[in-house]
Parts: sequence; C-alpha cells; structure tokens
Amino acid sequence: MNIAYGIGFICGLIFVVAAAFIIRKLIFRKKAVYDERQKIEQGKACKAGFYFLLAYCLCFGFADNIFDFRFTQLPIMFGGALISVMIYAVYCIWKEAYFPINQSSIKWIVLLIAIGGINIFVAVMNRSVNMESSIINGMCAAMILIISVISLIKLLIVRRSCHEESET
Amino acid sequence: MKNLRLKAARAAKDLSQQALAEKVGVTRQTINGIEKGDYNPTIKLCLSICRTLDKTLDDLFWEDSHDSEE
Repeated sequence: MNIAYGIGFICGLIFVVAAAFIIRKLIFRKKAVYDERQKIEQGKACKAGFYFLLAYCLCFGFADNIFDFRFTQLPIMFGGALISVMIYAVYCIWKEAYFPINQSSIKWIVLLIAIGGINIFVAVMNRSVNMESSIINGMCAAMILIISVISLIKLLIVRRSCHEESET
Repeated sequence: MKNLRLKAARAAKDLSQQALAEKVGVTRQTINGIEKGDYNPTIKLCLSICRTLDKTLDDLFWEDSHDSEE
C-alpha cells in the first residue's frame, strides 16, 4: 500500500479543485451560456465519444485475449478515454459548440496550453519515479495541446470567413 | 432549404451574421446554419430574430415555394 502516493494524489486533487474555483471566480466570471444549436452539437459529440470508447474497450478486450500484452494496460485503457474526450472536443470545436457564447475563446485556449505545459512538466519529473504516470501525463498533455491547436486553427478560419463576409 | 428572406432582411438592416448573432444571443454559426438551411431554429429563436429584424414570422420563416430555394 503506497500511502505517500495516496496523500500526493489527494493533495493534487485539492490543489486542482481550488485552482479551478479561483480561475472560475477571477477569469471566467460569467456563467457559461450555450445556444440551442451548440447544445444539440454537444449531444452529438458526446454520443460519438461514447460509442468510440465502447468500441475501443471491446477491441482492447478482444486483443488482450489474443495477444500477450507485455506493456502495462493502464496507459492503453487511459488512452481510449483520452481519445474519446478528444473526439468530443474536436467535434464541438469544429461545429463551434465548444466555447460558450459569452466567454472569450482566447482565454480558454491560453488556459488549455498552460495546462498542457503543466502536464509535460509533470511527465518529465515523473520519468525516473513512475514511468506509467509519466506516460499518462504525456498523453494528457498531447491531447490538450492537440485540442488547443485545433481551436486556434478554427478561430483563424472563423475570423477569415467573417472578414470575407464583411468585404462582400 | 435556404432561407434567403432572412439573409435579405439582415442585409436590409446592414447587419453582419456576427452582429445579428450577438443581438439575438446565439453564435454566428447558428445564424449561418439557419440561412443555409442546415439548422432548424426553435420558435423561441425565430421570434427573437423576427423582433431584432422588425419582421413577422410569416415574413421570414413561412415556407413559400416561390421565395425559398431548395
């Protein structure tokens, strides 16, 4: 039983909840508002992510019985969860249903990049201590940074189309 | 089915899709979807758009085979 890991996990969780509360109160003061179309698209994205995860778990269960996975199973299963979250996020971003109407998407993208950076830092720090955690942190960082990049690309496309519309 | 009447009414008020979206309280993509015929708005949103553009529901959203393009 690793009590030190447990205490560290709980402390980290408390820190994250406190940080989320502070960010919510200081940076994103307004409650998130989504329009009706955005809520419908979020529902579709949720369905896509859910069915992907279901298929992933079935395939992994099947493959695990066929092949002898020498590599630990935790990063593989976690990877499935991360990919399903990424499917949800990317679908929503592309349909402009990810960011609320009344909040700045730039602030959210900056926050995502910062969280991705923290995950990279933790992954590097954990390399010599706990390889599994290091890999999972690295995967989280990759997912968050991919979401950030896609958000930026979509933001540029939207601004360009708004500019073209104003010129016509 | 495209909604050209909405587009015309918006243009008559000299509003961009973004400007109309902000007045109505939705995203630009939602207004774009309604104009292209990709999204069917709720009655609440239709009324909100009509109020903003000083039009009636019949003016903007009633299906008319002569005016709307498929």
